[in-house]
Amino acid sequence: MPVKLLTISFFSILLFSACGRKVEVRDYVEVVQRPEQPQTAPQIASASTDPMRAAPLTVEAIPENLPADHPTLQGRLPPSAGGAGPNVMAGRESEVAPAPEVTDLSWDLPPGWKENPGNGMRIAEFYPEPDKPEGLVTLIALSGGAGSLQANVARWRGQIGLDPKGTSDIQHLDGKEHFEFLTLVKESQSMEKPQSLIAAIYQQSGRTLFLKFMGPTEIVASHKIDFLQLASSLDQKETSE
Amino acid sequence: MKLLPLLFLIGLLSGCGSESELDLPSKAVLDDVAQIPLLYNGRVMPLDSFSRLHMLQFSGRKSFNDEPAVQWISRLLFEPDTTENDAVFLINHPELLDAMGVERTEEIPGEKKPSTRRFSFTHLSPGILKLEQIAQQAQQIEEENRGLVELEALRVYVNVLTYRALGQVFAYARELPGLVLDNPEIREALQLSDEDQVYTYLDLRIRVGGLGPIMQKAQEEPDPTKWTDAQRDAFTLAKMMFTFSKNLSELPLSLLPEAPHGDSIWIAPMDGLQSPDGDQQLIMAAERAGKLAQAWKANDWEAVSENAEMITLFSRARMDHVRETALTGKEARFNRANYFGKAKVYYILTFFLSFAALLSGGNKLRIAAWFPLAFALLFHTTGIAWRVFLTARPPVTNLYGTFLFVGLICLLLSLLVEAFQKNGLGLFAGSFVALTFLFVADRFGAEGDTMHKVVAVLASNFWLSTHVLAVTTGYAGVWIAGVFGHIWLIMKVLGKNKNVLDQVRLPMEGLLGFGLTFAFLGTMLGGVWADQSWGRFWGWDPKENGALLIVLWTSVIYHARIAGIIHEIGLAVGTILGCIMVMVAWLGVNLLGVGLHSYGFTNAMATGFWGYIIFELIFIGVALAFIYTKKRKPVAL
Amino acid sequence: MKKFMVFASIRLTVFCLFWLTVLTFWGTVYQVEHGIYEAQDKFFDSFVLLGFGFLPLPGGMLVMTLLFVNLLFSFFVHYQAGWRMPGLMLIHIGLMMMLLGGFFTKVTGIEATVSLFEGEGRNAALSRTEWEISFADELHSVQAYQAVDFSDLRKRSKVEFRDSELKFKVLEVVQNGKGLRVNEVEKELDVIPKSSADFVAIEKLPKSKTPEDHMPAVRLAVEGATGVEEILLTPRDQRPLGIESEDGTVRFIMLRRKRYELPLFMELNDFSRTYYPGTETPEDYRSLITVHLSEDLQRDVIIKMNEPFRLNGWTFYQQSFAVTDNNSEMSVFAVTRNFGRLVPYWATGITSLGLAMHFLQMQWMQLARRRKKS
Repeated sequence: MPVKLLTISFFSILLFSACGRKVEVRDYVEVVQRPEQPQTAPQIASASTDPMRAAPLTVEAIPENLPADHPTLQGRLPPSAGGAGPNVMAGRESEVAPAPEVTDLSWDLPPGWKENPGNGMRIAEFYPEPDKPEGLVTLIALSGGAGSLQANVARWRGQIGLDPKGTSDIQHLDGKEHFEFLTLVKESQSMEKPQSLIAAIYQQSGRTLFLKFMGPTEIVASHKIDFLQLASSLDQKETSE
Repeated sequence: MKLLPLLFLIGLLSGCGSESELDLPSKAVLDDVAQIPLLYNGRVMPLDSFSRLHMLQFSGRKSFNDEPAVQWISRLLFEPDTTENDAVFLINHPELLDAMGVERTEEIPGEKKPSTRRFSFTHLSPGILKLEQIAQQAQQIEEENRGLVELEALRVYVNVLTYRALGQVFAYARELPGLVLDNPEIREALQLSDEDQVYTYLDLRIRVGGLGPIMQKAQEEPDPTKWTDAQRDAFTLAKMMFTFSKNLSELPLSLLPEAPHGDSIWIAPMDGLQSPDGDQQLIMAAERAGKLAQAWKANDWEAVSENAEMITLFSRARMDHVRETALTGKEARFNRANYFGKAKVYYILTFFLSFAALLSGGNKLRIAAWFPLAFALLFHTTGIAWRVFLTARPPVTNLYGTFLFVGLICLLLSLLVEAFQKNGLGLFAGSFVALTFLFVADRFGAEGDTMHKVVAVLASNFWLSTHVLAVTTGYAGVWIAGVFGHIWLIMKVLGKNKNVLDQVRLPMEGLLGFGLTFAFLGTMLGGVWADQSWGRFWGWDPKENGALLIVLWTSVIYHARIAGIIHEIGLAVGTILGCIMVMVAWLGVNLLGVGLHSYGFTNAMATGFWGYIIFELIFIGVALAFIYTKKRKPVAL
Repeated sequence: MKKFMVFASIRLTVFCLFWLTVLTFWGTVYQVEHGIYEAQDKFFDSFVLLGFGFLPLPGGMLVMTLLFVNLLFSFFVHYQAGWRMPGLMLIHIGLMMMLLGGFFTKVTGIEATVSLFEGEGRNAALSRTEWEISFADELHSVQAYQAVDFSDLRKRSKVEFRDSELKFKVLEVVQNGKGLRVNEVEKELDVIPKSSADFVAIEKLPKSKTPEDHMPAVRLAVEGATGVEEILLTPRDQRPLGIESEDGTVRFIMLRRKRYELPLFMELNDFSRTYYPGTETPEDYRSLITVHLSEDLQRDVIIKMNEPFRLNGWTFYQQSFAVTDNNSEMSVFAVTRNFGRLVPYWATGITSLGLAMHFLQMQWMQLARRRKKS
């Protein structure tokens, strides 16, 4: 009977489409601007207004008589064992930013350089010339192998305006395993100052460190030696404390 | 907590010795004291309201025996020792008394029966340290796990602390009998005459500058053992005064506004006296408050009035941008007027007269019933109007207010029925409902400040006001329809004829329609308000659902009637169930969070709520039983 | 045609209204234990509800659909006398509008939140209950993402992104779970999945009363990646997971709350709150934000309690706030997009007018009848 056939085919289509179905992909652009200081996780949640998040909305809201922590009483009671407030942290977990705990690295800061704590995946920031923040050195750690050398080089070339597919000179640094180093320079075009980028990639087990120095060529060139010394000084801290 | 014994000591020092016969202030004097503005519970209120709230908090009553709350609190403030034998502390669980190590009953002089629920400070004081221990332990336990005795201990402890603290507010104006100043050099520096043998902190504070030179000279000598007697005495006195002021800082009477035309920060008079800004006006006001205390203690009622007036003027001038400061006199008078209490009396009269009118069928009694009703209506409406004026809010911002309002609307609707029918039924039903709701309102009023400020989300919104007014009007309509439903069933059981029954049924249907219209409108306005305020029209929230239940139920009744599924009896039963729906929406949703660990009035509310529902179900069951057995043949419901 | 008459029956109306009453009551009691989202899901958003775990009963959506159909059909069957009872007609038209509007909102509406610290800015709102797997080639503060909805994922679902050779297949998907590290797992694992938080397995947790607290997790098989066969993603990872393809390109992938792109970029300049003096009762809270509508167009806006900000069908409400240990304030906004927003307003007006008209008319007729008698 046609109804039976229809039913069978309907369900079989449903069945087949359930397994191996490709999930729909959508696109968007997200812009996040961070405030200057890093913020710690909110501990105290405060008043929420939506009844769906607070207790059932009651038209009357009779406050308690003299709450136990009323500030003007002598002989206060100690703060009570608290309950948890509504979850206002919802949405802030798994942000791109929160700093990973990288406490096992040490380095020697070259004289005259300013160091800032990191933000997000950036472990630290260094300014060879503190009054010229356009010359910036960043130290980033990414878990696992963070892409082949070529891929990263291509990325950085793009970042200073060079054609990503061009070739670059990559050198090994003496004394360190898996430590690659390169220089990229973009010549000036029109009014822009020439930009340079030098970077060191340090492959450790389980993660990759990128020490990247980017900025106007004159700053990069004059502090190149310091940069190499900083890169060489990167080391695991002694585990014995 | 080591402060308590110290406070205790200071209290003893400053208060003992005057067990004289109490000379009491006249009404006029009390009025002047009652209207003094202060800040409490987030709003400016008169001392009268402050007193009533504290009286309620301590003893569960609004006055102390026959003494108005403001008088008792004034005695506590100005001559605290006179209150130590007053049995004001309500203790609901006698096990607490056992745990404190005090007797479960207290002999009251002049009373035959000993008191078993309210106790004086004197009776409780041997057990206070133990009480503190229990309270502190209770505080450490998670809220849900606290037992009834622990909760009671916390409540009573807070009350006792408040009691003692209030007693200390004016300690600075009371004599310090233990203090002896006989060093002639000191006496000269402080400009004390030979007659001055007893001093108050206030006296000394004014003069303490005189010690300056003595103390400066002392500081030039590095070795304190080489100081003169006078120098040592000066330092001791200064230290004592400093300790005194530290112990008595931040007491719970926010009497004086700190900054002129500034933010609402009100401070206790002792703190005003210490004004770090050197605010002379504030210091003078604090001194005046001290004089008020002294005048009361000395029974100098004229001085009491005068000082009370000056303090009131000071505060009003300072906070003239805060509306409530100027209204404290009116609020005190409103409290005293007790409009709702008076309305109740007249409603009772109306009820009996109209009942008699219904029974006798005559016109005279019916018309007579209108007289007390007019008064009741006047008082009821005036009371609500005053609340609106004093709070500058629509009359339904808390449960207490909703009961007052719904009672009034039910009454007005009943009067409409009466105007058409002219048979006393409307007067009877209306007065009954209004009376009941006023009593219920009282239960909610007992929970605290009924004119408190509303949380941010409920303030200043046109949609909120219209929503609550509409929905409560809807409640009123459905409720009064249910009352008529009760009457119809009773008439049916009594075997009245169709004519009489119709006289009850027709208003019942009309009122149900009115109720449905407003309940629907109100429910939807609630959605509008929710949409305006936090972005979604409907969220199946308990409060929203409650209102929806009423709308749905009344619709069910109407449609079932049209479909022929129910007939007249079913309609009456349906409206009674409608009453239950109204209570569920009104109170039930608030009780949803109430579990085993509810406490105090909320527990009583839960019992009352369930008790009411059971009563209604029994009523319906009994009425139907009667109707069926009478008919002896199957009757269409 | 006769068969369809049943849809116009008034007994159906009674049944629907009665059952809706039961659902409302039951659902309200249910939400005390299970939370409002669960209750809404089970009783009001469902077509069928399993009572007591096994008994199939009509759910809210089914009842409301029936009610709508009933209203529609009654129009043609019962309302020939329509114009004599204009109030009644209006009531039913209004109710139909309400039901339609509600349905439209349910299907197309968006509800999300944006939380900002002072100085922070965002252009996307986060869903409270929905999640997504986001995929990007870099991690800048202005970043294009590709995303798939977590709710679309089933076991064996295939996920592929553009411009990438990586192919993913879902192995395990959990609504509420906890990541487990190597030392917390009892049995041997054939394959150790890669995770930026070093999780190797997922422990399923029971559903909570507040779905906002749910932490989902997903384990995917990967094809085309260097040295990686499986990956495990949870919102607790703290860092996106970087995967290198065989061709050397690197991509970043993470499981996080679903983003809804907004037609603006909003920046919180200042948040302030005031309390009633001497109490913890909030009197007012408000946020001063700068809204950037485009490169050149921006303005300052105040969003506060009871005064939301509206733009292009989106509405931003001051919902709540939080304060951290070091006294930084975070303002939380509720964001909704609801094109059918005004429908309930119109429906309310029409129905209420209808109600008033109808009942007044009824009373009038009553009085007329009585006058005739006497």
